[in-house]
Amino acid sequence: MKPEHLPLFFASAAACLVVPASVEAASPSPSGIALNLAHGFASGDYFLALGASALRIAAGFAIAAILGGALGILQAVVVPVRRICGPLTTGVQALPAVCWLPVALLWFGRGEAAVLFCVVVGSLFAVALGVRDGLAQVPPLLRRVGQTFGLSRWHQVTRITIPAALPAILAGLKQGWSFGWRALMAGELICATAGLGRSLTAGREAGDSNQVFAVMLLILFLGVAVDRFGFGLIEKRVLAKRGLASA
Amino acid sequence: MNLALDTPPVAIPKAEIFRLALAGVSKSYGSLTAVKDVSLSIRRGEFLSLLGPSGCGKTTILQLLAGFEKPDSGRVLMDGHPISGAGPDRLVIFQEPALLPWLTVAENIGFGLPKHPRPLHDETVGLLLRLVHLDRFGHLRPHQLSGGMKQRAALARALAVDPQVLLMDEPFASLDPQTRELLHLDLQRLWLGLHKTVVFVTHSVEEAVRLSDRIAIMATQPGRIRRVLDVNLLHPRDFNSPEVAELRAAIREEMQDEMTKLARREGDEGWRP
Repeated sequence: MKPEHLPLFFASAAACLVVPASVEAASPSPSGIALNLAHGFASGDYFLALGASALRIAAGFAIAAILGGALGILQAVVVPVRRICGPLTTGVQALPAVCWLPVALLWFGRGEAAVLFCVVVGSLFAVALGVRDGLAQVPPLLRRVGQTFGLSRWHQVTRITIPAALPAILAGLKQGWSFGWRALMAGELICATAGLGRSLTAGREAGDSNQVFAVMLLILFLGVAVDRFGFGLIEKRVLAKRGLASA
Repeated sequence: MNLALDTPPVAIPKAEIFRLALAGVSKSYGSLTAVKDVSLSIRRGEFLSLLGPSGCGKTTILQLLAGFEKPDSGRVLMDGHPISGAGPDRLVIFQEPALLPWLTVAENIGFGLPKHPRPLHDETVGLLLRLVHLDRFGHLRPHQLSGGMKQRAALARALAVDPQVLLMDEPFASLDPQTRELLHLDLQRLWLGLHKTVVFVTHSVEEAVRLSDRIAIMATQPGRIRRVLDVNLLHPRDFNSPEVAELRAAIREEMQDEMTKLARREGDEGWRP
């Protein structure tokens, strides 16, 4: 132990000694978390929660990808739309998705629709930005290649523009997914009948810190898994092909 | 002995339709006059170099011939018909190879081929790969190739669509001298075999002398053609021969003015070439 860590060590030790019983119940232990996870999966509760959350993120992200893609394409193609909506998109994208929760509750009440709304607006703008910038930043030289080979407008889009924009589009989708995932958890905390966020709230209401941490682990696990093995792998392959990242 | 004969400026015989022609072409970008009143005719199968310093409008002429740009005035013709846009009959080879990074070398070369049955497509691509000595490298991605290999792949991709005209925009400018020499030989071999019309933009006197049938020497401010020289020398050209020396001297003399202009533009009174 380094000398500068000594005060921290003593403070922690002191805290352990004076922890009141009620707080002690609120401190999780590794064995407690493991036990909770085992029980949760054995009873099927966590499978249900995972399934419910996965279903919501899938639906919300699909909608966001379609709407965001459309918004991005519109902004890339129609200059006036880009002028007006461009800065707005960038600004709204910086807004934490949680901020949409009150709006969602006002408009949709406490229900599935509110959660879905949060997920969609949470990820929509990141996707739109990725698509817009990807399409707008296709190198002019590559467009010219398409022209000199006499490609039709349709082939110019499918054989030049989209493949050239693919890395940026993928990056936008990946970011949109991670924003949507956060929005989902926020939404489920407040208003959901099932899902990981709901299990988190249930743990807090029951005063069961082991459950809270167990569910946090599940959320972390799912988030990292999709990021790494879903988007991460696709992105890595696409970039490695082009010599933009080591395979 | 006068090997560098001036071609008469106009006098187009009626019977001959030129592969490419510019007639009184001017083009400005804002207040900058890129080319002014340029007339030039290029015969079928001819290798013509546009030679000049930067800013003389040689690339603008290429862009007009390619159909990427439209002239402000004058006419740009191919086989006697006005050029209305870019197309695979006049394939452009850019200074950068401009291969598509998401395709393999073989897929890049097959990029412009029409839809054929798989075996025929593969056979054609194989043929083209061998044509530019890239047989072993077809499965690689462009980023794994050297500059010279990339440019050879770009050449094969262009030849795949069997264009009547190749428009080459300083294609070897960013290569090292040894690679460039190899590519000169390759291009010459292909040109001699395939009888394509080539318009070749360069600022290298050596490159122009080595490759061309005719050299159009250009001048700046505004961009125009100063003189067109015939190069009546057999290939491959011996760079130590008195004929080549004479030709190079003639070109240098023509370009002397341009150097003076450059010095005046970018230096002070005391700077003279």
